[in-house]
Amino acid sequence: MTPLDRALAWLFGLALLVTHHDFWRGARPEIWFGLPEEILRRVVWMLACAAYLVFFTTRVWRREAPPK
Amino acid sequence: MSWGALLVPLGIYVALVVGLGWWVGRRAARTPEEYFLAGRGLGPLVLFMALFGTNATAFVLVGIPGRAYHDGVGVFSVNAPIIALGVPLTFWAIGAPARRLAAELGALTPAELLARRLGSPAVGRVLFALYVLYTVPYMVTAVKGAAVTLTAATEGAIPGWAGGLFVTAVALLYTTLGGMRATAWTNVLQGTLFMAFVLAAYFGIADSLGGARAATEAVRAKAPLLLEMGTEGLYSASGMASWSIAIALCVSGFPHMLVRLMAGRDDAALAQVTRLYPIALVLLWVPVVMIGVWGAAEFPGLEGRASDRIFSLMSSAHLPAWLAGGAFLAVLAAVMSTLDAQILTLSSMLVRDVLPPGPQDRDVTAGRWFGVAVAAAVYALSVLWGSSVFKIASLAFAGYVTLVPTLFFGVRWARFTAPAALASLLGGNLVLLFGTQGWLPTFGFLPVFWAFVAGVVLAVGVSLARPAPARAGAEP
Repeated sequence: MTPLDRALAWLFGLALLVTHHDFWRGARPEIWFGLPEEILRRVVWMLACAAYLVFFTTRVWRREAPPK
Repeated sequence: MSWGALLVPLGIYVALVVGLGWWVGRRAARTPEEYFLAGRGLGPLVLFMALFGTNATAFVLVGIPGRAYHDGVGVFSVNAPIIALGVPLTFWAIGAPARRLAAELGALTPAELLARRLGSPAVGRVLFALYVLYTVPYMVTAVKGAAVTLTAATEGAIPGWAGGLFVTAVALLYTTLGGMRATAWTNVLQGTLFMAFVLAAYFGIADSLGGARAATEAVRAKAPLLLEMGTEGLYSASGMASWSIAIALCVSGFPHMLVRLMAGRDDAALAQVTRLYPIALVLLWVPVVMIGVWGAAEFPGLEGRASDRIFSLMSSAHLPAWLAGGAFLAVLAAVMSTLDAQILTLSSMLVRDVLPPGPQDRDVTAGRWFGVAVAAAVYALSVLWGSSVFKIASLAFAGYVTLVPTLFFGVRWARFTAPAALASLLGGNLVLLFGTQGWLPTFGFLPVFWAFVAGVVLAVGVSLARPAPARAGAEP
């Protein structure tokens, strides 16, 4: 894990938390693919979260060697 | 649905889970490590299904659509996203070091791990007591929920007492036959059944309503506020912030989840599970919430807990009979995949944290008998206990959060001490008790928020106030 990886992990993680608690939210009346905009937006957030976890587990998570 | 129509799928399901338990148990070595932790050898797929199956309870098919019926899509917003981030991160923060330390110290239960790590049997005993206190009501609600489902699905042909007995007995049978490995493999089957049914129900119901867009448009025409997130209570800024802590952290406090993490083969398996979790949550939560929201337009007027029937009402009204029967099996699968893990975990704690050390053979035999005792006690309580158990169980989720500071610092921080663990556990639980009784001001946050803060402050403060301890196990 490089200092850049660590910084990105914190930055990306904080961005996810801030956007999750979207205190500025307003009405989202549109329907996309049969889903209300509120749900679709949260699904996109969860996919971003999945991307974050791929980055996190690949670059940040220090693992021990698998047992022999 | 008639009893006869359910008999065949139910028989096949029971034969599969019991057969799998027997087959897996027959091949397993007779050691406590094998029986309680599957030899610490679960690979990514089985580990994922074991964790997801254990985590996804019947509440997701019953309670969540019921809440969405009243509160709308906000139920999704305050739960699913933060679980998708928080729960996998606790696999890294607590699960991975706990797994490594447990293997190094020879611990088979979380209480045993912390007791050995901190050199304090008292910490293990307090953890054990809190785990039992919070897990038993949780198990009782699961058995009661399954009993109600069986009674409703058979239109009263199976009375509640018989339904609860049947579910408990089947879960106990395959659990005692093969231990952790059996429950993990049955969870693969149960999780697959559960997910397949939820997705089939979503597309089937949407198709019957003229497509997902038409179904959602109908809600917008009749109850447009259900398509927006509310702003009061749980959906306010402070409510959402404190709920996020509770819902994201309580899972790592579940002993039956932590034990499964300790059964992982290596860190790579845990990392793989971590990556898969958010995707699985999207596939599970979108259907159950949307079916509840669509149900508000289809079956208006359900009051209070009556909305908990909305998933089965929608399934019966819009799915072919054979698929609607799947709803019943999916609920049973979800109940059993959690109940088996809880029976095994509590029996392992009774063997390892209560009995004095003994030979390996004794531990496995005692584990089986304790499993029978735990299942019998839970079943008896499910018959005797009234609806107050649901209130106690909802407090249990907050209670698990109070254990998280001790678990986290216990496996991650070399300065953490046994007195700090005891202070954190007892202080956090006292704050929770006082907060829920209204004896402490909460300033708009849920009591669990302050209980967690108290647990962290006491864990750090008491540790720093004492000399650094000698530590068992390598530093993470």
